[in-house]
Amino acid sequence: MINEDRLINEFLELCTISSESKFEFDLAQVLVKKLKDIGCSVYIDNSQEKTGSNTGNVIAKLEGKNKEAVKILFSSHMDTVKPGEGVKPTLDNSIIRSEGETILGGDDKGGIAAILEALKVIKESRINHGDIYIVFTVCEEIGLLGAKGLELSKINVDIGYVLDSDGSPGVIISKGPAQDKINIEVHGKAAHAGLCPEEGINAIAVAARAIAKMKLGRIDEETTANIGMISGGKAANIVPEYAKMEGEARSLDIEKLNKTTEEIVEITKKVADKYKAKLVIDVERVYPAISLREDELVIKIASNAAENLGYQRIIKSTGGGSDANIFNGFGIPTANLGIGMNKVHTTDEYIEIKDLVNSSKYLVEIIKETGGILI
Amino acid sequence: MINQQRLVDTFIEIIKIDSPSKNERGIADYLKGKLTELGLEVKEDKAGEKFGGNTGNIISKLKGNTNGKALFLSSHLDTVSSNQGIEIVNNEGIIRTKGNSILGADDKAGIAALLETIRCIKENNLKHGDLEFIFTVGEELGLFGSKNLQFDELNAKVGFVIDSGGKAGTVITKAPGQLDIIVEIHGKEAHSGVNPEDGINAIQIAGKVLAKLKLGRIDENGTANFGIINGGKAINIVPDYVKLEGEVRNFIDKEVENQFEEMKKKIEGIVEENKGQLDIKGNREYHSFEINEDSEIISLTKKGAKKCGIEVTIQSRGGGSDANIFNYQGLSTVNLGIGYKGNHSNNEELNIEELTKGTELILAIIQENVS
Repeated sequence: MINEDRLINEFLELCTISSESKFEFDLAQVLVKKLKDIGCSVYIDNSQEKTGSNTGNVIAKLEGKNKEAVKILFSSHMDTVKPGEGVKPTLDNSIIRSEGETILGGDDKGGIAAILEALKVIKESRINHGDIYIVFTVCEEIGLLGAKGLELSKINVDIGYVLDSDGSPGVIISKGPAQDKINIEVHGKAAHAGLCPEEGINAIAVAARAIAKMKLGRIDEETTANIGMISGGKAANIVPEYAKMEGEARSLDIEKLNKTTEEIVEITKKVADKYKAKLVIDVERVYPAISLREDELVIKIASNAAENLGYQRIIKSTGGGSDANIFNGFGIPTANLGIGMNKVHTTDEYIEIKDLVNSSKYLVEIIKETGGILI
Repeated sequence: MINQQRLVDTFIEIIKIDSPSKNERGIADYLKGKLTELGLEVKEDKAGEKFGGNTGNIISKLKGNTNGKALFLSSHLDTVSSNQGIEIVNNEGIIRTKGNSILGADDKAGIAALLETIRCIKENNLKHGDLEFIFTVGEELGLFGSKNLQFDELNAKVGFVIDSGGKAGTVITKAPGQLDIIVEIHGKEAHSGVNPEDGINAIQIAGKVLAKLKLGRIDENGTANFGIINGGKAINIVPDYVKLEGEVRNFIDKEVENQFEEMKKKIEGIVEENKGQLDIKGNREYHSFEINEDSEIISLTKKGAKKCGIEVTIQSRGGGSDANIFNYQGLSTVNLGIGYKGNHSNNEELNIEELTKGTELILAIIQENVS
């Protein structure tokens, strides 16, 4: 049923349309047309103001005849990381990669292509289905901004699948951590380092000494913490009055996340107090956790579909974040599915053709599974 | 003899000639013109080429008209930053800016004082020995001009740098040696959410390093500082690189290296313990000096001070100046206060009374220097 050549050509076409984060307009326009040609009603939402992109998210609906069936969402993101201009995708035996010094964009155009092909197939095969919503988001790579700014009133679904994970089709991400972004600025007091250092308060020393005390890296099997960036000071001969550290904490368990973030902040406060420095602390819950049980509908459907097709079914947790976290936060149980992305965010990125094809097959099977289930 | 009005007018004229380090051309040309008019021999060397500046040091000689030891007098041409668009406020005996730039009294107060000194000598036909006036470039960047002087072309073995804040009569006889330090710590990148256990956090290692080091005032002779830090790429990557820039200073010259070696050992130990890699460099920038109170230059200074009724205050200072370089070359040098305050900031100001007295002191020293 899957038209492999059609799928591959569509994927190659999408890869050549540059769509670095915030510049998804051209790709969005192309997708609007393709979705309309398939018979969807299409809408571009009002998220631009919130994301800073040159387009809103693309929201499409394929009406289902079966009004009692599970309403389902499929989603991928339109944006790529850099360097994503002028991508030259090329077939190389059983894989697709990029010529030259760019990424490929399989993350996440592999998902987009798989979704489009699956929709064409269910129309051609006249498979019974309920309402299917398709959301192609902007600015996922720079903080899940499109999903966060989504015009929710435009969709009405029971479960969702984001196609944005590595691992071959059959990989089902049912658990993912919530993430806190942690920014701490230390304000000390400048002084000439040779003449009167004792009159200064060294903001770099305060920041660094706090970091030395923190528990970072893997905290336990569910929890991680990191300080990823630090900067501060003006000159080697001035006691620095300013330093800034940026980091994050993640956990599958919200309580553990709260505790981890709190500890990082408390340690920094204690050190700052000791040296009489002042702090400006900014903690942001960037996204909520994904915590789906294996017996939940969204996982059961994906699981059955994988079994039907003979895929190796792996239900697992991830350490990363995706649009799925945001949809779960909106109250839509959403799993993230593996589509076989490899070496993402590098110029060595590639995708195996069989994974691309199987991703689309998988979606068709999932739709078949939902078509029979009445809510 | 000092013409205070002319002294102040000259100062105000020259602070308007913007001359941040590496761009001293304007003030150098102005000065060369004035010195030539006054009948001095004027030369410019090629020091600028050595550090990317557009100007060399200006060396100007005034042959003595009587017997006396040769003396040199020195100020630097550059200011620590540009002061284009400077708005000058002159009232109640203090010159400052409106607060939107530095003033430039460091060190144009010194330049103005030396120009006025030469004018007084000429006008009043004063007796003096050989005098060498040295105007350096790139001082604020690290004493670059004085480091690149052709010392074999200088005759004087004793001299004065006019580049200290504080009242007239302030005499800096002691200053530390300094060494710049660059520390680079390498760790291992990993995705901070997926597999942080495979990474080695260079920033945290730097934290452990700074936790173990003594910074600030170490003892009555030494200081240590880390003034700049930069590291990491993104919050979701365990950072594999961080760079620290700092320095050590000590009034006892060989203690500079000792301090650094001690620091280096500690840093090496901590980085190794935490499985990081270290690159550490120490670059000696200048050496300490200490002039004895019973030395010739001090007794000359005191004679000059007595002649114009100024109280001498002998001091040490934690900063470096061209005096460090001159002393290291075997030229007995002290640094004289010329009345500025708050240098290197937009609060910089110059006390006209102290500028005038400081200039009188220079003139008195020159006069007392004849046999």
